[in-house]
Formats: sequence, structure tokens, C-alpha cells
Amino acid sequence: MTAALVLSAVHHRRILPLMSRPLRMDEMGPGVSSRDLEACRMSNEALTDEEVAARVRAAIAGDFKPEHVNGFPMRPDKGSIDQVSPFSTYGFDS
Amino acid sequence: MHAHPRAVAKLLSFLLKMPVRLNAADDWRPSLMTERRLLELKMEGLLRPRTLSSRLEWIAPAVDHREPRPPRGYMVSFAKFHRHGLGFPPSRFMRALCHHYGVELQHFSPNAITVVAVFAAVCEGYLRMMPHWDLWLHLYRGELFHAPSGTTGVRKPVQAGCLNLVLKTGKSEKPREYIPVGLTSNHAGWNSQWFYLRNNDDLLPAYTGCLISERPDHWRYGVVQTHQPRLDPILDALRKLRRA
Repeated sequence: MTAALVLSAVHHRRILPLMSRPLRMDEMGPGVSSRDLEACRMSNEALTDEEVAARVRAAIAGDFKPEHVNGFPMRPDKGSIDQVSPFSTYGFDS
Repeated sequence: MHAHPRAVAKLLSFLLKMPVRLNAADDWRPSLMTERRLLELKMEGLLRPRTLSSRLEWIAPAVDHREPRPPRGYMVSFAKFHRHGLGFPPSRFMRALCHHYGVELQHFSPNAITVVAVFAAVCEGYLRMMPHWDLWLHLYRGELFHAPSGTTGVRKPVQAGCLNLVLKTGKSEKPREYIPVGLTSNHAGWNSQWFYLRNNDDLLPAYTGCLISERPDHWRYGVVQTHQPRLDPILDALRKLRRA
């Protein structure tokens, strides 16, 4: 897991991490209202892997390649790892 | 003719021992942001629509604004910030960072925005929690950036991008507790891409244009000692993620 992979997952999902959202990133899955999901995303249109990779390269050093986009998906996306129990009681509400 | 290595080393040693002096502040650069470029940012999904309410969400600086003069209720943002994860209205974590470091939005460097965005995503998307304040203080500290002035030993405070957020290092080797974050060093021209952004409900500090010329002590504060044990399960989860 690297910052580049994390950023690629963020852009892949079309969210801005520092924006107030009705849902936490790991809550953006089936069973939540489409209205809340829409309020989390900046667009419903997916970016191409090339565009996501370009956005990652603009922030992170190295040659991040399109084939690595979303190589470490966030929860609850398919392929995300589930080694971590939720720490829901800590931190900030968005 | 080449300089003798010993002479070069002696000169370097002398230069490094010279006290760093601060010169006048680095001036603002005129903004290249136009309505059209802001509209492109919106089309890229990085800004909200311009007219969500009776007040405009974002405004391009007037041609005669050589330095920012935001209308009341607006602050100064940069295109790069939005490309790196800033969004509005700002999250509570973003608001807390401004409050903690005592800075306005323009004081963040582009890399500072990136590390904050990555941290928020790690907390929410992988650790399944809201951005955790104690974890933040445990991992990161604030550093003040001064620009080179062109004269050896003299540096200039900067109007924008003075707050860098860097992983703590030292005996505890904290970077090993976090994921690798190798940031780009290429932000050419970022500080000529400023514009006015509506400060929704004054959630972030108002723009005053204040200059920070010395690093406040609290930029390096860590976690309250009594809170440290609470971080253990989270650091353990981070280690698992790092190995995954």
C-alpha cells in the first residue's frame, strides 16, 4: 500500500477527501441512498485510468502507471482487504 | 579548472554554519486563473457548480488584482489544491488543521494538501474511521517553508505555501508506521493559479493575507502522552495495511 495507490482509489471513485460528505469513504457501498452517494461524488462519470494516473503523478513522485489504478481498492469495493476492524468511535465527523 | 575537493568542503562547511537571515517576503504572482480555467476545473469535477446559491461559489481575480483582494466572504484557493483533494464545503478535519496550525487556506503548500488528503483516505477508506486527530499528531509535524532569495544564507518568508506537513522521524522511526508517501517536487507555477473561493458559512479562517515568518512551537506538538496507548490498535492496523 502506497500513497499513490490510495490517491488512485480516491480519483477512481471521483471523491475529494477533504470535502465534507454525508458518507465516510468505507460506507459508500450498496444499501445507502443514491442521494447520499451522489453528494459524495464530484461526478458520476468514471475517469479513464490514464487520467487517474496523470492525477496521481501530479501529486506523488514516480511513474505511476494506468494499470496500477485502484490496485488497492478502498472498502467496500470489490477486492478491498478486510483485515481491519472499524474504529468508528474515533476521529472527526465529516 | 576544478576546485580542490578540500576547498569545496571547507566552503560548504562555512556556508552551512552561516546563520539564515530572512529577507522581505516573497511577493504574490499575478494570477493566471480566468473564468474559463475555473470552468474547466468544474468540468473536471474538482469544483462545485458556480451558482449553487445566491452567491457565486468561485470567482476569477480581476485583471488589476496583482495580489489577492477577495470580496468579503471569500478566501484564496489554488487550482493545485483542488487537484490534490481539497473540496468544499471543507471536512471537519480540514477545518481542524487550519485551527490547530493557526493558518489560512493559502498557507498550505500543495504537498501539505496531498498528505492531508491521503491521510483522510487512509483513515476512511482503509481503517474505517474518520480522520483521527491523535494519529495525525503522532505521524506528522508542521514545518515552515522559506523561499531562497538568491543570496546565500538569506531566505524569504512566503505569502502562500509556507506550511509543509512532514512525517515525523527520529528514534521511533515513525515513517515505518505509515505508508510510503513520496511527494512530487514539481509544482512549477502553482502559485500563479489562485482564485477566490466562497468561504461557506465562514467554515475556514477568513483571508487576511498574514505572513508567517517563524514556525510556532505547536506545529511540532505530538499526542498527549495519556492518549498514546489508544493509538496502539490503530498503528497495528496500519502495519497490517502496509504489509498487505
